[in-house]
Amino acid sequence: MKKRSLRLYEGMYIISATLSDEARKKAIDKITEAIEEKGGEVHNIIEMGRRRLAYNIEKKREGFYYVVYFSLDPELVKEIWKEYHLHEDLIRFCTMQTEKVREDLEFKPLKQS
Amino acid sequence: MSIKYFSKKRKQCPLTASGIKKIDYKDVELLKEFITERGKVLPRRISGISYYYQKRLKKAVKQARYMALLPFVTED
Repeated sequence: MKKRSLRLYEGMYIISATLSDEARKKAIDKITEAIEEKGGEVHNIIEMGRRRLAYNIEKKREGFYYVVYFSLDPELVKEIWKEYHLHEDLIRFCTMQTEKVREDLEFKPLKQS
Repeated sequence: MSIKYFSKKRKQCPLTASGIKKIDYKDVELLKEFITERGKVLPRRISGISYYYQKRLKKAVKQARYMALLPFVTED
């Protein structure tokens, strides 16, 4: 039996902006529940809000951005991707390994010289 | 006869100067400083970024493009 280890990930999700507030909440719940079902842990969910997409994806111009920090077994990440591809309201997603959980998305401004 | 050389002023990397350790793809405002109007990454000789950060910037811009935070090409 292989030892299961958790690794910290950061996932970014774009959810269709045409959805109502309720339906959008359901869509993001579906994502977090899938992680918890697989034995993962959700640390933080940050809402980036409605943004204009830099280019059209599936004929959509706007999207709702979410950043989710979670820890999961590395082998199970591929399995949740399969679920994401079946998720209709999810326009785009990406999961990346990170080292720490961010509380907000505020960044240091560039010093002007 | 002495030859007078132009005193070269060494440019400092703007990222090192601001004390930014990691370039995050979510930091769109920062990334926009280093791309052209058409969405290309600025060359190092113009932006003055160090080689170390240019490599990381390149990756961050590509990640941001995939997530539709930055354009691949800007149509005019």
